[in-house]
Amino acid sequence: MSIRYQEVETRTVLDDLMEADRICLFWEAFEQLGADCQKLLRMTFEERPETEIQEALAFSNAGSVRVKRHKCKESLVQRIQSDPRFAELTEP
Amino acid sequence: MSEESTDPRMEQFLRDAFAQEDVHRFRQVLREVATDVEARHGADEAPVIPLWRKPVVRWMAAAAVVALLVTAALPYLSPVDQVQLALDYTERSEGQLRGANPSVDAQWAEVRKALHEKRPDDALQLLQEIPASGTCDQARVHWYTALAQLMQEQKDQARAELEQVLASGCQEKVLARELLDEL
Repeated sequence: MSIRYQEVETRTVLDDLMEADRICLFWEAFEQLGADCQKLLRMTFEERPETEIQEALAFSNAGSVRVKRHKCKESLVQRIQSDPRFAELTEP
Repeated sequence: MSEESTDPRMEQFLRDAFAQEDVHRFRQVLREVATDVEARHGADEAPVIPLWRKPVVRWMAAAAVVALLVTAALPYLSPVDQVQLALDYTERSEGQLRGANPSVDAQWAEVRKALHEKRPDDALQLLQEIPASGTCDQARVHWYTALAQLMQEQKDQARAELEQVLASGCQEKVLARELLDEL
């Protein structure tokens, strides 16, 4: 309990704002993705079973899901990292 | 997702951020509300209608212009009481005859009396009987003729007489000038 209390105490409003900015940065990049990518990543982050994803998005096999997921995630990361706010928000 | 070789810290960030979609949605709502409020506020202030386009101001300006015009035109529009004017100037011109020929003085006095009693016809008749030998006597005849004609409301003739008084250079010319200005 004492550790959790300390953690709460040392967080500042600025930290909260930066955290919120990071979250928004993610979602803004996420919303720029195509509908299929959004659906695939959403199901992935929600940890849905791979078979369910395969069926829902009409992939022929699990390998195709993985390939598509990799491309989508790469696109998402690229969008996030190319945003000018990314550097500010990840500075130590 | 581990098989796609994303940087573990980035992977963690993606998952954490995804889990907090509500933060993003809340910010979106805040932004929309702020934009809406700004738009409404702007809508209240932005349309600066020029004063002259407000009907009330237009009416007020029109009324002010009319009032100014009427005030400026009033002296020209209201008829001058020519009889009263003639009486006033008859009274003012009385002192100007002192020192003249006493025999003629009585005739001038008769003319003035006729004018005082608002008998311009009689005054004109008397004026024809006065022996006006000198220039200033003639000017004086013109002067009283003008007053009598004014009393008869013959303004143009009166003006013509007054112009002759002015041209004479005699003492009545000062009063003649004033009277012409008033006409």
